[in-house]
Amino acid sequence: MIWKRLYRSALWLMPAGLRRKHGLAMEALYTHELQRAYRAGRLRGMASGWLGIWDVVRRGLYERWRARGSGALASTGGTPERQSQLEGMMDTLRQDVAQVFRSLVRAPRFAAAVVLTLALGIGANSAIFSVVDAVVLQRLPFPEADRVVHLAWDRGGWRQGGMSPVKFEYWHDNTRSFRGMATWHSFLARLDVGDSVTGVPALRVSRDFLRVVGYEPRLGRGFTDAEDVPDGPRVALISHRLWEDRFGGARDAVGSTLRIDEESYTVVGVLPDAFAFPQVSERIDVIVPLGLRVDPKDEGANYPIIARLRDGVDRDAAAADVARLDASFAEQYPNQVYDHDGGMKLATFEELYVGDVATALWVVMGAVGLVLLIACANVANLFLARAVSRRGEVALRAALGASRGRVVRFVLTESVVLALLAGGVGLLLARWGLGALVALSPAELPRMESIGVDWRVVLFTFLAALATGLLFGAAAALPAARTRLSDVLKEGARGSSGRGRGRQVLLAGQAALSMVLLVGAGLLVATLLSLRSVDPGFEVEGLVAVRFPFKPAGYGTAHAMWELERRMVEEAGRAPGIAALAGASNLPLERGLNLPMSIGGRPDDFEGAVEWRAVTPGYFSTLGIELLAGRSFSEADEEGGLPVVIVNEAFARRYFPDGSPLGQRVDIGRYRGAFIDPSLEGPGAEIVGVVADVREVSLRVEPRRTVYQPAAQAATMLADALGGMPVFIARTAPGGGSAERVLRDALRSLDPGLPVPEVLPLSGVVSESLTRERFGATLLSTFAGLALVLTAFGIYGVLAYTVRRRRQEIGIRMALGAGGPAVSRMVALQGLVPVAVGLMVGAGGSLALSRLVASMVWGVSPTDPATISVVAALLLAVALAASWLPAREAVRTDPVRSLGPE
Amino acid sequence: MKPHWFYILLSVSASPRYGSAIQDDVRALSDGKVRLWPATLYGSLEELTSTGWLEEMEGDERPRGIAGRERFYRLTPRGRDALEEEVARMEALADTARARLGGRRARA
Repeated sequence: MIWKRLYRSALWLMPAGLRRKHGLAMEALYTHELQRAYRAGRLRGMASGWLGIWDVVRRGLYERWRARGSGALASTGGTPERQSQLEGMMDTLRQDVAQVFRSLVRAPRFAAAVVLTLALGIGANSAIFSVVDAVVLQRLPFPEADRVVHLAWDRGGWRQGGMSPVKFEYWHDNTRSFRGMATWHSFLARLDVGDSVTGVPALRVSRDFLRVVGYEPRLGRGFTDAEDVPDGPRVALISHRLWEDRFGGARDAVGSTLRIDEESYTVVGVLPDAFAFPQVSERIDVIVPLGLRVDPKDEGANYPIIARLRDGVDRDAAAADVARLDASFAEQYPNQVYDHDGGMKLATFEELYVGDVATALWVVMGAVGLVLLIACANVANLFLARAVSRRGEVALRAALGASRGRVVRFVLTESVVLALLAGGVGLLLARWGLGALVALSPAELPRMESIGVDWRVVLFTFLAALATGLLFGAAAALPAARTRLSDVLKEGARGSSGRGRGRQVLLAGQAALSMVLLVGAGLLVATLLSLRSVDPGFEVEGLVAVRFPFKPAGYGTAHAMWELERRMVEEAGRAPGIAALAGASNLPLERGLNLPMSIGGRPDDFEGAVEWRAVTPGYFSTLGIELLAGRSFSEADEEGGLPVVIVNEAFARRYFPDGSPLGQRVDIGRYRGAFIDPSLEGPGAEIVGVVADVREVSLRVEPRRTVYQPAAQAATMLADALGGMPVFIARTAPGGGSAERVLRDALRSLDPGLPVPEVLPLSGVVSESLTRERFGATLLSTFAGLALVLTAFGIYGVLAYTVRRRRQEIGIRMALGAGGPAVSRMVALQGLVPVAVGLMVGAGGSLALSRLVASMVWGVSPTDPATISVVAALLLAVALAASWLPAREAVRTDPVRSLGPE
Repeated sequence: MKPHWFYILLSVSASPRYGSAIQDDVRALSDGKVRLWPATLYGSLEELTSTGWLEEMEGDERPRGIAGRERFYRLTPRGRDALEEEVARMEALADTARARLGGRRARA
């Protein structure tokens, strides 16, 4: 219930003592009141919701004030004078607020326009802030999280978080700065309970893990050193959630057994409820010992390192301690270090797990900041217009003895009250918007599960609203304070026409900010469009990707898995309704394995890693990948037969620029004369075919050099590293019913014990690979659109106001013979000139800021002149449209009436 | 005296009560006009306790038969004095007002 959460957040405004003592009772009473009010009607319920929160805010401020005012005497309630002084201040404030409400009720349209405009701006900021806060700003959920560090291997241009087992062991054993150092490997555990099977997020961890993250098991114990050995005892820690769901929170859960990946594990402990591991997922249900097998030849960088600093050791000392080992490690394990490597470094969670998402989020945060500024400019214009029309009233009050301070205070109170109201509405808007935002966000956004409206967001919104209110208040109050009755009387009740400069500057500023936002959005949309038009190199239409949600029962070994793959392709591929079915080690556009390789007969000819894929013979024809030379794989390319590979065009171009690669030999996994894994050793494979390039990694990335191996010959290769779960690509025959049902039926007839497969159109896979781009483009376009609308309203508002104020002058002009077109031109120019100035400033700003979006832009220059011109034209068109109505109204001015008495 | 203090003191003057019971009672006393929101209610209870007009009841003095961990408050002698003083002030004020209104009516 959102009210309860809001209320709980608001309770932080109360002094700690009061909150601890009465917080729960207050919450209960509030809920009770709210339920009673909701029974009387929805509107009454909502009103009660806000009143209750307002009560906390007011009382909280009062209590803190009271505590501060009385200092050490807090318990006795303060001295009488202080109390009365304070009461006096509260009284004045109450009077001011009451007066503000009265004056706003008299001007409901003004109030609504201000609140709505600001609410859009503030709501957008709150929504984006909740994302930024959860993903970027929030500290890690570990006790004393600032003592926790990650280690990264410096690869020259970039930092690699994953380590080979020997690297982990070397630093684990030889550093002195850490209380513990751990590594982990995440997997989806198959959990059998009774008849039901579920996949739950799980970790394999090394022995120090709990000490590093700083959690003690809530029940039972952690793992002992003796349990963290290869093929060690099967013991498990389970999450608090799993403990409650599966064991009903019973104490005897410890010691019972759990079926994990078809093995029986003994539960030795229950994790505390607070445990989360955002490096993998906020939700981890099962932890088992890793039992890392350390082989100096294993270079697979699959094990990240996390460590906790020892007491009294700071980061610099730890970094030095870590770097101290680089030289001796390189000497002992030369195969593990490349020429340009910079050795082991300390790294942060943000560097390794948030990365460029942070950039994108900050760009969006900047964008919504600009939207709020534009909204502010609109409101400032409304305030200025109102201030001018109220100059008479203000001057009169001043003349009647209201102090200048009182006038300023009143205007400030008014703007702050409006801004706070807008903040409340904005918070609701943010809550609505967040759902859409999370649905849109890229799956790799870390800590996505914790995005929501919490007290930090409420506080942010409150502060943003307060700052906004004070900003306008100041802009509107200063001219008001300067007002003198004599000036107003001299000018006459109609006021002057020459005081619009402030409004015009605000208009120009709005146009400039909109321009910057629209250019940014335009660039991201152009990026998305150019990525969509990229030919991935394979067919998409009519194809589906098929995969198992977890490892099917009874196919534990790599070889058994290959048998399943073979039978699926052979038998299910012939099932009615399926036109073609092929298996592969992974889907195109999803991350696969890359391996070093060398070419037979060329000494020491390592030239970087190649992409590696194991595929069944039908892979190329199913995906429509053209065979350019040689032959495709066939059933004859069996395990134990002559090893063969097919390479892509990029591979052939790079390594055989002058001749045919056919008949040449490659050693996959061979680097500087040695194989990186014993399972790869062999006589080398013959290149039997060349296929067209496919964008294997991402639509953004040019096709990489790729080697395809027959799945039959790769079955036992790298079995551990691959995890051994193939994916399938199928084309369904027309008229056979939904792909999902056809495939499910085909698999069921193959083996009824197989889990129901996930079936996803291949177009979905392509589209999925663009979520990050779509996220940026959609958000920035939405906010740029909002900015555009606000700017249009701003232009309209200023011009309409000008026309009303200058009716007399326009009347005179028309009476003197000025034609309609001349008058409308005069009015329209009032809006168009500042907009044109704003456009130029905005274009300059866009160029200056292009660096910020450069990393998010693809296929178009970040200073693309076409985008800038289109955006400028769009803004001008909108400005013209917004000026048209007031200009028309001006032409309709009746000279006689405008000159008559008001 | 602040109106809501008056109502709270009046409510507990009859018998010791806990938070939400005070709220219900005040609502009834004021004909539904005074609605004590939780923060004001508990803030005021704290404030009145620190002024010495109310006191929180210790464990075994709490009324029996009512479950839960509710905190019960009762009026102190000083609180009763203050309440009586306020009632006297209101009476005096009401008398004055009545006299004036009656006087004006008489003149009309």
